[in-house]
Amino acid sequence: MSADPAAKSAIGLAGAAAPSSSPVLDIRGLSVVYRTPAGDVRAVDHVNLALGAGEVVGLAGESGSGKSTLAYGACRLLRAPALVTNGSVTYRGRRVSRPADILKMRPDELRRLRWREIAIVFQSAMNALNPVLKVRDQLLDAIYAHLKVPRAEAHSRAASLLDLVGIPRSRLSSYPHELSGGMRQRVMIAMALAAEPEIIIMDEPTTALDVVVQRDILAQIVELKDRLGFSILFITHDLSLLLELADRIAVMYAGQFVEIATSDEIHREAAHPYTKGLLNSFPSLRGPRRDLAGIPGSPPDLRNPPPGCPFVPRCVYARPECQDVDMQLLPVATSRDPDHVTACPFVLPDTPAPPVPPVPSAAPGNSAGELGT
Amino acid sequence: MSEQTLTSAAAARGPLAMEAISLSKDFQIGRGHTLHAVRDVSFNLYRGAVVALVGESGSGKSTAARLLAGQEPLTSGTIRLDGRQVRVSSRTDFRRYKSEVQLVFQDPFSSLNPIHTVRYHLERPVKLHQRSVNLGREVVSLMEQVRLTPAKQFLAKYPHELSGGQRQRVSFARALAARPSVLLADEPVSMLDVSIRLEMLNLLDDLRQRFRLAMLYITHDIASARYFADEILVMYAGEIVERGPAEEVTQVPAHPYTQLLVTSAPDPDNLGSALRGGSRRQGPATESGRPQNLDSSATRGCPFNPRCPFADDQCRREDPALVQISQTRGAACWHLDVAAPELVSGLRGGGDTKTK
Repeated sequence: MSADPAAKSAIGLAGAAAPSSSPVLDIRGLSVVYRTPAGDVRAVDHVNLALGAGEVVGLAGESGSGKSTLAYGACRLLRAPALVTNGSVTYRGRRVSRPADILKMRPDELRRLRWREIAIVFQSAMNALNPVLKVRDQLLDAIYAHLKVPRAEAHSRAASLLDLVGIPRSRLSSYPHELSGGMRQRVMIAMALAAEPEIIIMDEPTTALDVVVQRDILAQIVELKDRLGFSILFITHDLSLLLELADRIAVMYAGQFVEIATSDEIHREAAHPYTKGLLNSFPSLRGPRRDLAGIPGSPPDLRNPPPGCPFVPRCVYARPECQDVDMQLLPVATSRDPDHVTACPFVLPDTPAPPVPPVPSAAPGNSAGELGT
Repeated sequence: MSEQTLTSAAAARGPLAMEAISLSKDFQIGRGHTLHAVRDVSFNLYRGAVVALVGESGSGKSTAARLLAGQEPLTSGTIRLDGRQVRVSSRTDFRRYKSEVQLVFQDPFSSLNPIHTVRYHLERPVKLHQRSVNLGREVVSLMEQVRLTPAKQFLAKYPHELSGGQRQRVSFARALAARPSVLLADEPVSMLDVSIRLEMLNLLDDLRQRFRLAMLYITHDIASARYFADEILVMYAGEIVERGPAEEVTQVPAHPYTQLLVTSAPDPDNLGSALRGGSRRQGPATESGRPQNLDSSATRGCPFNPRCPFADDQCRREDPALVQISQTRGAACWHLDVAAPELVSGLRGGGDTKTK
């Protein structure tokens, strides 16, 4: 890539630091690679992201775009062959005396940070809960590990945590397999809340759930957030969900951000072709029924990223100059959101889509079209 | 039951291919407990048309597909294929049936054999179901049909070398290898990334047209059913609670459960609504998270009554039959006049008044 990484992150900051007060979590220039015999996979490449107090920031992208790697890398939860090669992650909590760089923390500092300051809700509650321990013991485990509280208080805390997420206290003596998928996910959320963290990272917490249950849990999360005042980094591939839930959305592609803006702006004035593609990927229940295309093709191989914009092979707007794009996030001039940034210098929200190339018709000239008689 | 006089919204697309008539399936669980997974479900599949079966997990939609695929014996009911009753008693019968009716599974990661190549997965059904074709050419043609090209490059690959979308394409090609007339697709895209779901749905739509497949599309995503299907059947606790043309069911849902499904779907146009800004949920649900109860002891009344905002004593006592709302539409609810007044006004007594 041609751009000087330092210059790039300096410019990217303008767009990343949207919240007016100093952010709770400030990720700058973070790079993560996976060391493989075939070369480094650049899973996250110089990204900047700020999470303000009480804010819900959505991280959207396909599988393999690096969104989970980014979040886990920022919390130092990755292990070899993943390697954080660059960047800083500044945490400014209300309960810590001064800002600290998570990437430079000693193990004991990290232990104090985790769960008490930053908690994570993992995608698969089925696998994240221990199948041979009762809900009570798992909650107590989390409480004892991170808080110094007497036994009686720990027990009452475990019970009140279940109250918080709307599960009857009698479920404390249940095993995970006795709970429905939605209840298990609620237990995971209760565990994350055990030490009243400032930040909760949610990694596709509702992807495996039914829409009705999903909606209930999201409403619960929002309600808890309003009550307890934590910030949320919400990772999902479902942009439609984020549009409703998040304050700001960062769209990730091939390890880099391609667009960051408020949800309203993303919904109304998405600038980057990839964001436009994602928005065009889910059928809507309301409005006119129209033909949708999704985003044909698949993400690039990050061992050997192509020069310029990584989205070129799948982009309907692609042109020769795209080879030289250095993926700097620049403000969208026409946008109402001053912090709306995009990595595509050519396409603006109102750029008309080029005529859709004809869908490659399958197997020209073969006779199998007469199947099935 | 008025259900018999309903016309399927999919009927206009093509000739009748498959009829499911009052299908029921009970499972014995534990001592003396019966789980009614599918109760008295009837619908038709037409060539070139898509019928969507929509419901939450545990509603019996996958069991219905397995019944149609001949993978589970029926507790009661009849399946007819091209007008003939299906009786699968011998292996040969089953094979002949499978060459007409194929099933595509949700999870492309576990439905392909990890120790076999793409070539093996596709050659086997061709050998089984079409004896007289050129094997190599047929396999390549199948791969082109599902746009897994260049075919040569993919033939020697193993499932783990393919992306989720590519694997699902192999599943589609494998199902087409039998040259079926009916394709049962059980959540064919819900394990895939959002960005490629539509591409796969569009591919299925293309295959439906090209091969005039009668398709059953099973999903929990009612928005994709609106996009893809001609007729939507909404299932709850093993029963069809509402049916009708896809557009009508999603735009003006009649049954309280369908209304709950529609209000629960993420709605990007509803910015700053239920989730952001306020914590108050909208929609008719009061205890929407409660799963349906399929146990025999709890089957009194309408299965949705514990979650339904309109439930009264009658709902707790008797299970409503499907009430015909229009020529192509029906819903099983005692209180349609309250739940969907705009649909049933003037319907009283008659039962065949068109509401449009």
